[in-house]
Amino acid sequence: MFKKLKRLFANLFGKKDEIKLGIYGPPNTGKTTLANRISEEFTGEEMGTASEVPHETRVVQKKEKVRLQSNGKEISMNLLDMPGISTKVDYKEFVEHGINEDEAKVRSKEATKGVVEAIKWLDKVDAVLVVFDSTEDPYTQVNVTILGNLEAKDIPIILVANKTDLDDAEPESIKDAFPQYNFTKISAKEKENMEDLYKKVVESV
Amino acid sequence: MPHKCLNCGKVLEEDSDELMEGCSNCGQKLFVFEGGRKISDSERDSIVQDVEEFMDKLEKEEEVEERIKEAMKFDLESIKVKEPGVYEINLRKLLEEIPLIVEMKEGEYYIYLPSAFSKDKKNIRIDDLV
Repeated sequence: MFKKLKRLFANLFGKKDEIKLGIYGPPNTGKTTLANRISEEFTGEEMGTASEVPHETRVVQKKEKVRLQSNGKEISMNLLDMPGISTKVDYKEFVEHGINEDEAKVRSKEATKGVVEAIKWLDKVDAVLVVFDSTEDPYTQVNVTILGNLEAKDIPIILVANKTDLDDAEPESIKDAFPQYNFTKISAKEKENMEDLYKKVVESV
Repeated sequence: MPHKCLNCGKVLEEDSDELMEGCSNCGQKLFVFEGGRKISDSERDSIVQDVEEFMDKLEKEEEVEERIKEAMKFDLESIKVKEPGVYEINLRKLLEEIPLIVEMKEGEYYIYLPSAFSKDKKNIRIDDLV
């Protein structure tokens, strides 16, 4: 039975055994919190440490063989939690969060490498969740650049408006800014509307 | 004799080459057309001032052009090291299929060659960053 299923998936997705789902977005949009929710739900384990300090994830975090199920469908995937993508990394930002200057500079260098690594991975992922902070202006250089590039590569994209639990969240403004993409709004922290996200992932790959 | 040197007051012959080459007396290239009428010293001073202001303005415009050129200088690097611990990342450049280029300081570029050849881009190292 398992072999049969595996063959079925192999046929569906070419020779790939597993879909690589990349979680992209600017720093502090809740990518790791989202990755943890998905991983927790389908493997029982979390993936990484979420933090209020930006650029907490500085190397790509992988969780293999995550079997995501929704609406009676199942896909097996490698979940990839990416470092946050930004156009500027300044150690002073970390100092403001109480990290000493030397450590902050090392962190800044690692975060810059993380951005490079995340960008290089864009060539390898099969589908992408672009995570937005629903309380922030969606129309930024980072978002526009990432979306434009993914679209050019013909990679399936789902826009995820996260943090809908916050009072000033405006998830609809994200949908309005990029109306041509698949969209869902969630709170990864409060586990709100996750089922809709799973459904859209299964449908899109 | 319609022209007079603004600097030394030498009156030029009509169609004199000095109009183009400069006053043979003092070398200046600023002349006033007199139209056969003598001008007073105060008029002369006022004309000198006008011309000087005009020249200043021209120079300033040149400075502005220089600044524009500076801003439009070629855009090659993916990452700029503004100071240790402060990095500016050009996402568009980074997304292009080019080697990783880091600008360590103004005009000093490091080209990370393995990034141009390696297929395994995930292991990219940019340890040259200070």
